[in-house]
Amino acid sequence: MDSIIEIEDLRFCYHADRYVLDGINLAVAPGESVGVIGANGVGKSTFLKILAGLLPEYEGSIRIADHLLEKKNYGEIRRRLGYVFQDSDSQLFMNTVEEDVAFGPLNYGFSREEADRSVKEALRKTHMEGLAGRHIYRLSGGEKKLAAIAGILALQQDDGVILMDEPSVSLDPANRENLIEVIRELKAAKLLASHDLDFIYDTCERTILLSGGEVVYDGDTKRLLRDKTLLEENGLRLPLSFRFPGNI
Amino acid sequence: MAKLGRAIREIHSLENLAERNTFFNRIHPTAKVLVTIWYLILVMSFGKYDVTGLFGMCLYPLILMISGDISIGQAVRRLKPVLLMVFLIGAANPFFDRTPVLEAGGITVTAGMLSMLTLFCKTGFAVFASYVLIATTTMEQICYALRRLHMPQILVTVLLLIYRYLVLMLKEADRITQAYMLRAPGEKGVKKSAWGPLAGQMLLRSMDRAQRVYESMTMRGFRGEFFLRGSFIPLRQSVLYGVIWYLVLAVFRLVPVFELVGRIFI
Repeated sequence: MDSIIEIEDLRFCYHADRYVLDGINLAVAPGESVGVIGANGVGKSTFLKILAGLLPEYEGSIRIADHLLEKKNYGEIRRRLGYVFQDSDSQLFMNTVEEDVAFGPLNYGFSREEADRSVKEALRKTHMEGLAGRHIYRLSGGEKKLAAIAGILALQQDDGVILMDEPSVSLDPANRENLIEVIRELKAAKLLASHDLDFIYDTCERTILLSGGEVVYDGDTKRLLRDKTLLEENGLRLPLSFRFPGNI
Repeated sequence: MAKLGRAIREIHSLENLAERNTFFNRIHPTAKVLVTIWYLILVMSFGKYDVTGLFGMCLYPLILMISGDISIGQAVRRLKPVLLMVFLIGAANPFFDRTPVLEAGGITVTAGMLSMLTLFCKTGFAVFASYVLIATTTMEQICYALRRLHMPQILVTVLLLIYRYLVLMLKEADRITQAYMLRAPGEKGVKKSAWGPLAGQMLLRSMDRAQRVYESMTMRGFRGEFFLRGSFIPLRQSVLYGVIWYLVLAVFRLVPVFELVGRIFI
């Protein structure tokens, strides 16, 4: 199967003396769900921001949906790639959920009917149909997260890419469960950066572990999350579900 | 510091007003913006002693507020600081210009008094007309209308971003002062020594958030264009609305309607 994301020898630094990412190679297949984990400050958010084209001064080669990640291709790439920010408050800027979700499609030249259709579909996929007319500032944290995801989905077909930075942060158990369900139902390829290893376990079949600017593990999520030594060597701890035998 | 929270709530409640589904909210924004601009031009064109002619212009905001179900009391409360400032600016006029103009009920009315009243009316009416526009039209709709009227894209984008960043800055200021107050019990306001770091932090955080908002907009294809959403009355009715107000306001500008009505009773 052809990859929707192909990364070769990706290097990036904020300051000339230290590379945050130093030689990342990765290929993600369409529809695949990949977790990105690592200790604080290891470069997970930076990695996603580079893929979203928000940090253009990287070294190496990145191809997304057959387009080289460079300024002239941003329009085409962003049509198929969505980025869900860690802080949903910064992502939602229109007055109502419906208006915010329609923002992308209208900017990409959808007709009003097409935009309405894609808004409806995106809200259905995120279980937000009932909140279409709700004001953004009246949404709970979980609802804001789902509205942010809906804003991404409204632009995409199932063959797109969704990047999520700490999607489960500050969600209560019910909203977290709802979000897991929504993410599992999405057919697009997904890259989820998170500290919440239980969340990664619930949503990703494959996980990469970043440490020292490199990928130190790339493979089956369950296997990685059981490897206490590897996790602890890289500043992480076993997820709660794996600490008690019989849970999994 | 509750003032900041109140300011944020006020902005949100204005947005709520603009989101309603009344007849005035559903008029095409371009028509509303055009009528408001026309109104402002006419109001400002009155001479500085032309109070009676100017009085007729109060009908526009008044009619819209009453029929659009916009609370006049609330509007006065919200616009209090602006109105107070206008009053203070004009308050000096009676002292500088003491030329008697007429006598009314044994009181000598001076040119300064008239010019003060005119200034107060002009600015007050302009402020109320702008308030009516904001209370019936969302910022995105106003920006859309301004683009339709060929206002440069860069200016309209800056206008929208200022509006969005203002809310972000207020929220950051609210958060940071709340955090300060919780760790400085019993203090009234923020200590002078903390002003610098607090303002710096607030600016940095706001810039950070503003950056994320802008990134989020560009990620979803924003290129400075605005799109109209929502249900509006048929375009023909919006045009009719604009034309009627255009004519009515022109009549009120050219003919001192209140003066003529007054003469009927004298």
